[in-house]
This record gives sequence, structure tokens and C-alpha cells, in this order.
Amino acid sequence: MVLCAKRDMLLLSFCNSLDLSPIIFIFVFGRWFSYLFLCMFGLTIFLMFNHAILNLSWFIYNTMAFLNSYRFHIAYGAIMYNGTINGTSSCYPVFTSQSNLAALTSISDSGSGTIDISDVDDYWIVMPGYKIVVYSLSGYTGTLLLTGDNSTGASQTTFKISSPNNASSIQLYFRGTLIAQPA
Amino acid sequence: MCYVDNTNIMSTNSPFTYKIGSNLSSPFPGAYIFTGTMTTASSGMVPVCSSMPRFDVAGLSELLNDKDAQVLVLPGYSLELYTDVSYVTLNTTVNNTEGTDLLFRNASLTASSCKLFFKFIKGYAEITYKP
Repeated sequence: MVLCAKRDMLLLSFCNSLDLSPIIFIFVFGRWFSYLFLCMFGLTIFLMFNHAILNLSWFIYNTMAFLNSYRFHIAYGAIMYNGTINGTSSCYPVFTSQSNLAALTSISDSGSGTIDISDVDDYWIVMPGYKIVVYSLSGYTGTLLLTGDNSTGASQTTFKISSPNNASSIQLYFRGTLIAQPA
Repeated sequence: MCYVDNTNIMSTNSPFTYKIGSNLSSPFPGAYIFTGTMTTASSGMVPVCSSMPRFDVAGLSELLNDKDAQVLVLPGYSLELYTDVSYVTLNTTVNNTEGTDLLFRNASLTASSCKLFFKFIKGYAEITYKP
């Protein structure tokens, strides 16, 4: 580096002695500007990555985040209501597609197990940017019961399902992209 | 928990934060406590954004104290339910810090306080509010 700098200074002195144009100056020192640019670019990338892994705030703008190396939605895209929304009801937040609502992953004192929330749906609230598709059978099969599309909406939308208490699997989309159930 | 008294400043170890004024806020719950099962149609869903030392305070007691029927924990998080306030007598731990999908667990309707943890890149830490 020092040798290069000395050489460039000699070149610059030589160019000045010949009264050459400033283009020569840029040509000589262009490499140093490139070094400076690369350093600043690298520093920017480092700070962005560092900020991301420590805080993850970069990802909340589209409600996405990396959890255990898996891209998981930290905010729910829809809520399933059992019963009436303004009356006695229960609700379940939907973060991803679910291929079998009758066997959601659960644990207990005796080990692993499942929880069944199928066939209890009455209303769906879909958040802006999201779309939900409800099927009567597991594995996204059977009758298509509801397509609650709020992909371009600006506020949350409520959908009353015409054939309630039949949902067995659901697909959730965010801006048209399927949010698959984690493997 | 999104409910706080007068201490609305999150700890600096909270994930998925953004600033509101000078306060660091974490609006995304790491877990949910259901006060009934989904099939009963009489369940409340309480989001948990941080540890909560007391379920028996006014406004929260009627909603949550000893009403934990089921819990749902997001991947990366761990939830501990305590039978007594101030994190005394650990009753249930739902550890999903290594998971990639949601994790349910039936609870015992006895919780009076809870702790929420998150597995950061730099380590495993409790999510609390600054006192």
C-alpha cells in the first residue's frame, strides 16, 4: 500500500509536470477512490447485517422474520373465530398455512401430542395484504369453503363463512405468495 | 405482555422492536394464552409480549388470572407459567426455542405470572420491561 501510494505520488508529480488534464489525476487515484468506496460499502453491509441479527427490525416492515433459520411470520395474517365475534367466542391466530387443523402440534407432560381445532370456524378476520383459503378436508382438499382475499386491502376484513364449522385445512397467502406450513 | 402499568419501556433485549418516540416497543407477541379451548367457543386470547409478574392486578385478573387453558408459543420463544405471582412455583414450561412451527400445550388454569424468553443470536434471554 505504501509503495503504491509513493508510486501514485510520483505519477501525479510527473503528470503535473507535463500539465496534463485532471482526467489523469482521476485515472491515477481512481483505484484509491474504489478502495474507499468498497470499504464504505462493506461497512454498510456489515452494519445492516449486524443490525438485522441483533434486532431484526429490518424485517418487521413486511411482518417477516427469521426464527431458527426459518422465515416465519411473526404477526398473524388471519384470525379464526368459533362463535360470533361480538358474542361468546374463541379465536385462533393464523400465522402459516395448516394442512390439518385436527392435529396441530402440541406437547404435554407425557410428550408430544396434537390439538384439534377443526370444524369450529364461523368467522374469519383477514389482515391487510393476506388471503386465506379454507378447505373442508385436510391436505387442502375437499370443498373450497371460503376465499377471503384481502391482498390489496388497506384494513382488516371480516368474512362470514357460508358453511360454518367445516374447516379442516387452510392456506394463507401474503401478497399473493403462499405461506407454507413449516416442515 | 402488551398490558403494562406505567412502565412502558421495553428491555433492550426485546426482539422485533421499533421506536415510538424514545421508547422501544415490541408489539409482536411471542406467545398467546387462551382462557378456554378452541372447541368451547368461550375462550379469550391474550397476547404475551414479555414477562408478566402479576396476573392479579386490576384489569388483568378477571381476564387472565388462573384462566390459562391453552398456550400457543411461536418458534424461537419459550414460555414459563408460574402458579404464584412474582414467578414463584414453576408449573408449566413450553419451550419452542428450537422449533420452526407453532407449538400448543394444554395448561392447568393455575397461572398467576409468566416469563417469556427468546433465543437471540447472541444468546437466550428473558423479555422484560425496564422497571
